[in-house]
Amino acid sequence: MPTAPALSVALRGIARRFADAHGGERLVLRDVDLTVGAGEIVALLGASGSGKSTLLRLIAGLDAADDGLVLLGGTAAAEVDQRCAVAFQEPRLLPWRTITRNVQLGLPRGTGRGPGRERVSELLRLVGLGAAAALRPRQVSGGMAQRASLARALARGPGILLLDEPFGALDALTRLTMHDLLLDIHAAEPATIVLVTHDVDEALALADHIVVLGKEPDREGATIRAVLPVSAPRPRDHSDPDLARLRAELLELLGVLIPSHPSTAKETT
Amino acid sequence: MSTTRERDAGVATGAAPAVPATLHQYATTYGYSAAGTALATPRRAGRRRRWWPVVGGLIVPGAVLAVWWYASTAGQVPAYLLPSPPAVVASAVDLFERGLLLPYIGISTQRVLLGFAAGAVMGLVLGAAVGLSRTASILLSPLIGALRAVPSLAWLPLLVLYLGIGEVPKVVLITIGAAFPVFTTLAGALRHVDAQLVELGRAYGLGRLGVLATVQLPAVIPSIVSGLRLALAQSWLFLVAAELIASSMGLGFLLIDSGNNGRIDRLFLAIVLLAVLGKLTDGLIGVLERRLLGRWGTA
Ligand SMILES: Nc1ncnc2c1ncn2[C@@H]1O[C@H](COP(=O)(O)OP(=O)(O)OP(=O)(O)O)[C@@H](O)[C@H]1O
Ligand SMILES: [Mg+2]
Repeated sequence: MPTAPALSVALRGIARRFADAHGGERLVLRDVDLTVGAGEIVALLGASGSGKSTLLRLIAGLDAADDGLVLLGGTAAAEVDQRCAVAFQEPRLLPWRTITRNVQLGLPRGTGRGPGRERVSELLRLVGLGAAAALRPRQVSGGMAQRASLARALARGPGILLLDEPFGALDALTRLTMHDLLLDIHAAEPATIVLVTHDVDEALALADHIVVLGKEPDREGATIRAVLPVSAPRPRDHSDPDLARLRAELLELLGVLIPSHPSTAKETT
Repeated sequence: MSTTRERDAGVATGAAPAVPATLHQYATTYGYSAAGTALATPRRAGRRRRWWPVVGGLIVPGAVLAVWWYASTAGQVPAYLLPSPPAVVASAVDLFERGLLLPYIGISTQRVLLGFAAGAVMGLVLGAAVGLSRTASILLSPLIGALRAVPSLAWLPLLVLYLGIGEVPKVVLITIGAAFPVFTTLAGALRHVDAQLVELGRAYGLGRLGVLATVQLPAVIPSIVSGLRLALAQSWLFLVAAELIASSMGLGFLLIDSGNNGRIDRLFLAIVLLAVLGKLTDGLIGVLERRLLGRWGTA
């Protein structure tokens, strides 16, 4: 199965405004500068509404920045850039198609019937949906739908894989299995992966770099607050003191109070 | 696009994405779909008592027939106001023997089917244009909306003046009547196709035609079928309007002619025939509906 070579992603001075309810404009993202090396895994962390999905859509060319530049492999991103494959925050499965036929939608154009079918059933097996292949989306659970959506993005074999909270609806155990799966696939077909998550431990388990998106005090619009490298070799051990330090740092960046009184701790994500 | 609210909704309802409110739903909610209600009820119930929908559906019509029969033979209602069921059957036999019954039924059915087919094609083409293209919508919507507001009978004198009293004006009138429901349901349904699914199609490399074939068309098939159902009902309505005024044969003519001659038995016969034919042709669409929903439905 030919897969595209991994491509770098570069964001240069990205800003995005949206119309607000009162006919004015609201700055959602500003001054976003980021470089993701080809084949890297980057986790994007940030509070709800900080613009993570928006940033992913900008990279995919599904949305256009008001300012700044998106470069994929050194060239500007096209409108709906086909070098990217997106797994959206919602599963977005076509309700009248079986899970298999939904995943088939992800195959690159020009994939032969035989190899296509093989790849789809292999991916379905990998994400644990082998037995659900013939079901319609309405007949599967939220987490199963999410895994189908992941399989669809993986089917593309893209240079850049954009995953918006791909494991959000999964139980802890399935989530760990999917982490291993993603790392295995990445080892076999090294795409550049940008992965949005709310889960600090997930970011620590998967990412080469963790990007924290958030607002600076008294300034409108979210921007990149920190880019933290995670250098520990995989598989990673959560008790690793380096990771523990990173974890504390991330939680603080996300506005989680590291408490002297644990009862006052407050999640803001 | 991706707001917290939508994500939460997605989690809460499992895999099923929120289905947008469509005219199809509207139509089925108000009972205008034979297969619709059958599809909505859990399959388990249907399998256990398969005879019930058929037998149950006959109870009320049977009761109506019984009351009619009793009232017409008990002598309380004079026969010139209420013919008995045997008298209506006799009038059918009589018309058949004169060689009128089958030609009347044939010509009316032909007019309905021709007008319905032409109207459906027109409605599909215009509905697709207005539903898919903003420009077409801006240019065409006001005019189509205004034309739709014209009562059907208002067209008739004009059609007779322009097209004479042959087959053409009648078929054209039915075409007008059939086109609007198809147009309205299709244009509305296309506009309400889940924008997230359309974006998904684009994200996975589908062009305009690809998105149309892969996402939009399958999504609106249930609406198209309900549009066709409404259009068929409208076709029979407009048929009677056309035949009441300018014709010398057909069921509408039978109605007006019998009314003028005081042939209450034939009047009843015409009404019964219209009911039966309408239900039969609707049943054909019901078969189409079950086929299409089996293939493109979301269940
Ligand atoms: N098409 C749009 N029109 C107007 N506002 C939008 C649009 N898309 C996003 N926004 C706004 O941009 C902000 C960021 O949205 P986004 O979906 O990127 O957040 P997020 O970080 O992905 O949040 P979550 O973690 O809850 O998914 C939100 O305040 C949202 O209201
Ligand atoms: Mg999001």
